[in-house]
Amino acid sequence: MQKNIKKIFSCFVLLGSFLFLPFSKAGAINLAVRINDESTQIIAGDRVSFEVDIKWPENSTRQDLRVEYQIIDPSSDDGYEGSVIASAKVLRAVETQTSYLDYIVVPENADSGKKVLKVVIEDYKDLNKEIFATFNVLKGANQIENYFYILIGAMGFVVILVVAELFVLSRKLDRVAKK
Amino acid sequence: MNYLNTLIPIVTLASEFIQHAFGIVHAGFIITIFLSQIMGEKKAGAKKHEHADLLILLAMVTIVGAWRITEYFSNFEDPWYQIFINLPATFFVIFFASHLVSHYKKSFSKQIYNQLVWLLVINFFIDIAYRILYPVGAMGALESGVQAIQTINLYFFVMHYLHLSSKNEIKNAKKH
Repeated sequence: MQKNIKKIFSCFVLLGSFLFLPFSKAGAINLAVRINDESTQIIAGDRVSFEVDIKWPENSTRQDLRVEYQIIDPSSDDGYEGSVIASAKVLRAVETQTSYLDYIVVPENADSGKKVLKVVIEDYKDLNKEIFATFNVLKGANQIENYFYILIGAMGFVVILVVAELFVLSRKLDRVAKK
Repeated sequence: MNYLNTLIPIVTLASEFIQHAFGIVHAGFIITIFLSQIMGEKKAGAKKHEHADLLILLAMVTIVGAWRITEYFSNFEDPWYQIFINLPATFFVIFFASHLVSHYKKSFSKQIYNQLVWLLVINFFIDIAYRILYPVGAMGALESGVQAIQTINLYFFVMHYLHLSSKNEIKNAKKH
């Protein structure tokens, strides 16, 4: 009898201990961010398009998630992990799974090189997950470079016209002088 | 449409550069010749009006230069700009040009003069259209293009005038 009481008591203790275990609903969440093929190499000022994939099979109710996108320049000296050069926050309602396309614009003054897209997903409780993907910012056509070519073209045109006119006029004057 | 949007700033910019470059070339030529006349000896057989004509030529080029500069600082849709700048500038340039041509009536290329007058008149109306009726980029590019052609034409006018003036000088020198 006493043995049975001990067994029942230990079962209760075991069950009770499960109740106090820190179960987290976010434990089984699967997150992924994939940058679209056409956005893996872009020019500053363009959009980075990407796909966010959220799988949350253990979630039974509709949850509001705060999703933050950040573009980080790892080469920047500002801080240990690089500096955030662009960010955007959106809200998404998720039940068990969702997959959506989104974009963020890379600032025009961004330097060329590797950039990191960081996606931070939070709910209003204890969920806080970060996922990353990288892409390249190419050296774009510089506006000043374009101005320079236009200026050179215009100047070339002017110089050719002036030289040709002077040449023709000097020949005409020579002819008059010879007469 | 996208192609046009790319082309408009390029055309505008190139036209502006051409205008500025020719403006400097005009002024440079005339100032050099004017200074050489003042500082040099009085040429034999030089007519009285030649000195004054160079001044008029210089005034003409200065008016065109100042006109282009004023354009940048004037307010869009400002009727006073049209009344006090655009209209008088067009009038004075045509008036000065006709005055200069009158001294070389027979030998001066009528074609260059007519083109200059037409371009000035067209530019005047395009400016009104661009600033008041259709303030769109394409119209601005068109105006810049017309102004660039007009500046090139003014350059040919100036060079043609200087050529005729030099030709006369040579002929007069031979006579004396």
